[in-house]
Amino acid sequence: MQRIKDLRAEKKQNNLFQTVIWKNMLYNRKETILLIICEMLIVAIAYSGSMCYQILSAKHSSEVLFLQEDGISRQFVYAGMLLLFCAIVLIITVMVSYLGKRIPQYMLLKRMGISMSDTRKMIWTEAGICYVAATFIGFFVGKGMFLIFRKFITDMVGIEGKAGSYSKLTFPVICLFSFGIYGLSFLLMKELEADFRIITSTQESVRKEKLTGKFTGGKLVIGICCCSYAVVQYGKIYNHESVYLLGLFFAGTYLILRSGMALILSYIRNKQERNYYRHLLQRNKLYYRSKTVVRYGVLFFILNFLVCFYFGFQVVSTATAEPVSSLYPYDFMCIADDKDEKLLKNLKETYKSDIHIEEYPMVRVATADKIERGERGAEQRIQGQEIGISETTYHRLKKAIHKEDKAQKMDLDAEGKKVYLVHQQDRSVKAQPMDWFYGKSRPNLHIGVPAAEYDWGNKKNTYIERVVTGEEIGSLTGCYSTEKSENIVVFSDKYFEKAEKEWKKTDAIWGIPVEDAKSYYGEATIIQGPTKLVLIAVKSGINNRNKMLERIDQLLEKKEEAHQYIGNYDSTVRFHYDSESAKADIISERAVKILINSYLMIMVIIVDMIIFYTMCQMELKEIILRERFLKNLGMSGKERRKVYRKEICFYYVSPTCIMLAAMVLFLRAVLRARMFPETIAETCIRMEGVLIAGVLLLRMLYVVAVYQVFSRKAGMRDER
Amino acid sequence: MKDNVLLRTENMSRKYVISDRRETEIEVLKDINLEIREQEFISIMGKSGSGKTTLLKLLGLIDRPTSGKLYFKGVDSEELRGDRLARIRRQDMGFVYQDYYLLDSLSVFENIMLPMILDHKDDKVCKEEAEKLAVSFQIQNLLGKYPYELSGGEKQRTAICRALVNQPDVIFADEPTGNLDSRSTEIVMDVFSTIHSKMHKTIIMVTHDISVAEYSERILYIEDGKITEDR
Repeated sequence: MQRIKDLRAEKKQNNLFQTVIWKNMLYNRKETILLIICEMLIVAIAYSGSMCYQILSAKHSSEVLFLQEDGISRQFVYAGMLLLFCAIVLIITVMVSYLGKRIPQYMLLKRMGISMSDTRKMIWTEAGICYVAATFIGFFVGKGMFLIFRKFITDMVGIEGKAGSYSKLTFPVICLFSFGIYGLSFLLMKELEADFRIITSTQESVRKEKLTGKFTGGKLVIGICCCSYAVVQYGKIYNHESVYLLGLFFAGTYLILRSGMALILSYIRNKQERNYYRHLLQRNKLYYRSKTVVRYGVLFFILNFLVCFYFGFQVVSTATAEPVSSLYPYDFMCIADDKDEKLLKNLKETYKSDIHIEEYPMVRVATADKIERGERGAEQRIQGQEIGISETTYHRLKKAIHKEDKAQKMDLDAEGKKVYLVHQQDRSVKAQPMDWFYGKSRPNLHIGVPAAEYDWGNKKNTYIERVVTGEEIGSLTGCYSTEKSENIVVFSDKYFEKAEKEWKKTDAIWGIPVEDAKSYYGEATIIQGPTKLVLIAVKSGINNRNKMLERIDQLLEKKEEAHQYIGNYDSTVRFHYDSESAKADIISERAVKILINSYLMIMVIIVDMIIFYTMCQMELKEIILRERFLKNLGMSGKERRKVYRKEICFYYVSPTCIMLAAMVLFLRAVLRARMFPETIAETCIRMEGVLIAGVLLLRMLYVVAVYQVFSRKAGMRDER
Repeated sequence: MKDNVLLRTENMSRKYVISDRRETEIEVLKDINLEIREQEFISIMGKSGSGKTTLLKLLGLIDRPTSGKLYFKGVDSEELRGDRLARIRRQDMGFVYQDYYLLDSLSVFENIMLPMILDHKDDKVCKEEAEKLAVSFQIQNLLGKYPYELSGGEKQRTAICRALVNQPDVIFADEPTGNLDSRSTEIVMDVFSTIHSKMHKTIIMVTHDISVAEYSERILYIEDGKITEDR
């Protein structure tokens, strides 16, 4: 009966209850506005990003299906995941501050007997207003961002009038997406609160944090080892500039900062009394809030490092990458075989002196797995397919494109155990290994078409480990297949002769000797595969050049199916590649790379600023109490401001110093991994310098502004 | 009726666990056996850290005992959860705190009406009742103001009006005069006396001030978590 009465009462429209909700929101408008800004940013960036993707991907050859392994969508998904992570961290941080202020009010209402449904109504109304406002503003901001970036992209890429269009459903989908992030962040925050009391702990005025724990010296040593290992490994080409190494570096930095600071401060407190007491107030926070201070310090370092290096270097390396035309010395590259004699003869007779055709002997070289994968298991790996050539052919190719032949002595052996690699990619692409599965530093290579059914447990007969005597990054024949395939493997001339005949002795499906295949399976499949690397250049300056290119392309396209030796095993590996579409792809990919990384840089800078502001806001109550206390003790305003200024500046100075040191180490590593020539490396370093200076200046101005605002809020300007 | 037992405890205890390395347990209240009847005016006195505020919180159903029993109007407190508990807090109890705990975002008028708003009473009824109480406690000219504009005594009278607006059976007061000067203390304690004598409400008040405790008809002394005297 009572329950029915309650339900009837709840259904009544109570205008005063709405007034209470609205007035509470208005009272906490600063936190509400901050939350709206965070959500608005997510909507705006996701909206403008997806519109940019749609207009750019229309011109990219690989964008038939979304989430294709090559192309723009991969970069957008990758960026999207990073954005998602940043968005969740940001919303959780702001929510902690927002709810930190609201929780005392909710608790009071709970004590006064607010029902669960009214509590939910209150929370949903507030959340709903924030969400609607953020989405509404985000629509216009996102539109503005998109227009700016479209102008930038079309100027750079030159696709004005040829760009694709975007769907009208984009915004509704983004609304759902942002609602999902909002909900997910709220759920995660509830979990964190249940486990770590992250909100309610902000209500406590005193928090006890130990300066030193056990094994501080040991942790410091571990931190140093982690950082050193991470930096050294980052410079190795086969580690693919792994984000896990960066994670290891960050973890090491945290250990170094926490343990190092603890040891130094303990030493000062115990052994240098005079120094300790002279700076008692200035360093007080470092002593009693050391864990929190270090966490924030490392967090700001990580955010600035991501801006300046992880995303910033991508922009810089893309901006300083080779001109696209230099990556494609030929108009067509064909992975041909003996049956293509007639076709090539036909081409020569048809176009005579208008085209120049070069033929080089080659073998197909397969790697076990061409893609970095997180999961292992029954899923079949797509093997990489590379171009195997002899040492002589390598030198001829170099000479043909007038490139300086640095590798005079390659130290290759007659058994084929030693190889030289040419990674055909441009400078904007991360350095990467050729073989992802078995041996990153020592690739396991198979001579012949991919042996799709080979026995993984018995790879020594099929995918033989090779030692890399040297490698280079650059284009000899053309950067096709987005650096995962059609790279060049150089063997010694002697071994190459043997390799050319390997197909006769090897079963193509199992990768084992033909006799073994016959005895195990009753039959053997023999496929010769490609034997010739054919490079076609159409003379420039002739009439109807474009039409000629089109006709040749159509002619070669007709032969595609005949060159699928093992069915459509990998659609990205083809019989022929044309440079025109590859150039268009690279141009749009570079534009996307700059666009996405710029977005991410802006997003992370904003996240950094918001977290900094929120951190100051959460500590304000404590600062005000301390301010009153110190004023009553007779400390001058100038001294009190100095104490606060030093505390705030710690969050600028220490992350900056660590970041600069880390930048030097990692820049050196990445320039080595990507084998940048000296002149280009200098340009990159200069551009990075400008970027770092800009970011640090912006951050400094912001920190100064925040200091001014919060010192005023804490009453430090008031001497009464 | 004065003979009806409003609150009863049986060997009620409360322990807290401090989360340091050794997980130290502190027993704040030990085996409290107590009966509080309707229309009683009780003061709970004791030194700082004796457990008086903890006792008040347990009796006010804000906290739960770690052992023993607590009955409110004959109902075991363990059975009082969720919306049922919320209703009791809204309709049967009123709270007055040392720090007033008024919502700064709401005016005095809205703060007084708040329990009725949460109880989904009609807007007109809310306003009428709030005005009536404000007149009784002589704060009718403050209705349009906000808490930060009031003095301590005015805030506390506002808080008392809020505690009374839903006609609760019992008022819990935690050091209601702790932040007030002597003049305001006198005014507030006169108000409590009026609530007790004329409105026949049960009042359970925590105080460390004997002069304030003397307004009540029964004083409980707590020391080290135990009731040492009941007079």
